[in-house]
Amino acid sequence: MPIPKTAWVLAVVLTALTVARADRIFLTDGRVLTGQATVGPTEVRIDTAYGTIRFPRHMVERVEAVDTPQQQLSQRLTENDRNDPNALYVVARWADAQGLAEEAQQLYREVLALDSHHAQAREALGYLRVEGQWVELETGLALLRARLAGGALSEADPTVEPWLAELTRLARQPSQRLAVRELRALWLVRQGKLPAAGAALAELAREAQGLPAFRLATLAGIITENSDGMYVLTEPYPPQASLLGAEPGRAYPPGPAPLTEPIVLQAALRDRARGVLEQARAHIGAGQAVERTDRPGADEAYRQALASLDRADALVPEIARSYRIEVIRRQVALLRRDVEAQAALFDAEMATLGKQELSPQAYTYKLGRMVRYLSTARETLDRILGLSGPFTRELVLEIRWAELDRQRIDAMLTTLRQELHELR
Amino acid sequence: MSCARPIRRPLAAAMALGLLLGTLPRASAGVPGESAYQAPHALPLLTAVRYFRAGQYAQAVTEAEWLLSGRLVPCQPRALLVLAASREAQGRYGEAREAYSQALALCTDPRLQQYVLEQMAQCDRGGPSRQQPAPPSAQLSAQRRADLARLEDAEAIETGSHFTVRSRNAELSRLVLEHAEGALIRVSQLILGQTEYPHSVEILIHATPADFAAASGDAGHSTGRFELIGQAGGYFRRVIHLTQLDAGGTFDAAMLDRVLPHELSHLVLTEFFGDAPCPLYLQEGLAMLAEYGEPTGRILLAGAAVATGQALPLEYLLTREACQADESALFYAQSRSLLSYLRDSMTQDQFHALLGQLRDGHPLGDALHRALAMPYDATLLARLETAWQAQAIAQAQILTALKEADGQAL
Repeated sequence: MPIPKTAWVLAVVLTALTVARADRIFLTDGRVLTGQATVGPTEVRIDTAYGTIRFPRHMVERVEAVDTPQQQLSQRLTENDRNDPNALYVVARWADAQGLAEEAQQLYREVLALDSHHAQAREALGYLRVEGQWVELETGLALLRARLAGGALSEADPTVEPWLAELTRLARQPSQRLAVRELRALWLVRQGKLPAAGAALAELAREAQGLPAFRLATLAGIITENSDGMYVLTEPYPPQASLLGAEPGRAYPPGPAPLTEPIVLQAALRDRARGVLEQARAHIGAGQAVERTDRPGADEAYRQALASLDRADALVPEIARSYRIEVIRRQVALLRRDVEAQAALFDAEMATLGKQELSPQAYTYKLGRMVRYLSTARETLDRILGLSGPFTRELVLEIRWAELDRQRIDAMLTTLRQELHELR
Repeated sequence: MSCARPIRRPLAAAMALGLLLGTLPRASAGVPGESAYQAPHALPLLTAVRYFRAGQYAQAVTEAEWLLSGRLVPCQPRALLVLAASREAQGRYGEAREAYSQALALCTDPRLQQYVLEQMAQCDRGGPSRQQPAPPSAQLSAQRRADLARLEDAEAIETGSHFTVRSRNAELSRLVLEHAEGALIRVSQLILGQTEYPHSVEILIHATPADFAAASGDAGHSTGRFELIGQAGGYFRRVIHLTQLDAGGTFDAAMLDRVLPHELSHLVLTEFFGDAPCPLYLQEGLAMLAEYGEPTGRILLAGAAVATGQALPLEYLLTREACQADESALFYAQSRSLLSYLRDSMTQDQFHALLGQLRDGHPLGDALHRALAMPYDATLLARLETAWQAQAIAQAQILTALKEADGQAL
């Protein structure tokens, strides 16, 4: 049925007036769509949450303005007792269903403020129950990871499967899902289901990227190579236990050991990390050998060394720190040479300043060159500070020198730029 | 007759142990031995490993031997490793060595090969004990000491694989040569690990302290000294000066027990460090560690200093390039105590790696992190200091108690 002309005018006016409001479009074929309608001379456009649709004018029976979900939510909140956690929870669920995720989360939190044990609200907010306590997903993950790594869970522990199931249900981000699957694979190791664990870890390694993928592939490799479940510890683990005066029995002694014990898997991972550190050392040595003769070669060797150190840290966090500091110290030394080279060029220009007869243009060029040398040196100093930044305790001199040099350069640059400005 | 697979006795025992320990892997379908493990030998192997870890070495041996009997897999180096480790733990070093030797022949992993070789060496030594060998002088009778104090007219020269010894007593030259080789083995094990010391050393034994002072240029109270003398063509002459007689004219047995290994340690360490600077605590600590016998006085001094809060702080000890006369006794005692603690708390490989890192110029904290391949710990040195000092006190207390029990004067 065609829309009367007056209705069209009204619709257009309404649309113009209530931009933020929702509209309901009734089509001639009986369909009803909700969104934001824009009525044009020949067509009606509706923007919905899923996209924009255009209908020819003859297909549209009428357009009605309706309350937005937010408006409806306000209405529902007014109608319900805001101090009743259950009533508030029902409204929150409704908001969730309407796609008002942020509002729903806020309401769930309000429910918890009224009743901190409200199970449904906790679950809706992504909490899981661990040993009688509600914890957030990340905490639940960390707790299970710590329990597994600490050997606190026997291979028949009945709490782990439900725990993993809850984590799986709640994990929404890809990284969270990956973390839960890794834990599941480690639980398989603990249970002695090594082939399944190895396959799961290998699959995860294929799906993950970068350093997590390397770590997962390494774990899979350890399990595959020791699929009979035995790993030989060649020295006590943790290696520092005896040095720090641990009670006898606290360190795991060398010899054949079951890989199903988490500490043995950690020791195996540490052994692999040590192998990667050896690769890094070889790169450092190679870089050191060509520092004076092949600068690009040295830079590349140090880049590879740092990449190896990243891999070692991915296996055992912070195992590579002292090597990293060594590489950065070497890189800083090379960069300082670059600064010196720029400073020498600057000094050469400076030495002839005021001693040559120069045209204004030549003088301007000369100052421009000096600014360029200083700017390049300053950029290099910025790189030095960027590299040294994470190691303020160890690279005190490197950082302090770079800061002082940068201050001096900044002062000189200011003077030169003022001079250039006046010349122009 | 049932077709069900019979449960072997060791495995049945293993199941019982698993129930006891709560650690035995559960069979996936309730059939013993058919678990989720990949290889058919995996379950019994792991059972053997668990017996080993539980300290039930006899059962571990039984399981490993059953595996090696060829009923599952003809011969497995991994089962041999469990067998060897269990034998070793039982103190049956000969059998352990034999099993390690068989495992080595089958082993392709360099990490494991290295481990097996070390374990074989440990078996050869008769266990992991680092008990001090008796000082050479303990074997010298009064008559022998008197003979060794004799001064002959002619110089007696003895030559061995690493040493040429010169003295005015033929018997002394022979004795020093014999003990010098022994001391070199000790010092090399301490500093160089598996690397053999490749050089020749002259040992010049001067008759009296005055002769020693005149020849070595050392007018102090010492009776030994080493020299590394650069020669044309880049060669070095290595000399150790010793003193035959003490101030009273009797044979100075400390020459064999302390001075010779001490100076040898200085020489080997100096060459190991090359041009790199070697910290004083390391030089002196290692040299004292190379000496024979337990230095009771130094142990008591270090322990008492810690107990009374008068010990030199670790940071101070590590950074001294020379020590004041009034603190030298304590500095030496604490240096030895620290090095002894480090050596005893680490494996030989770790300790040698530590020396290598120190030689490369890394401070002790960094060197320890690297040698142990451990995650960064900002408190490592502070925790090390606490643990080491606790050990120094404990050692002194034990020594005091032993002496009191023996009725000796302290």
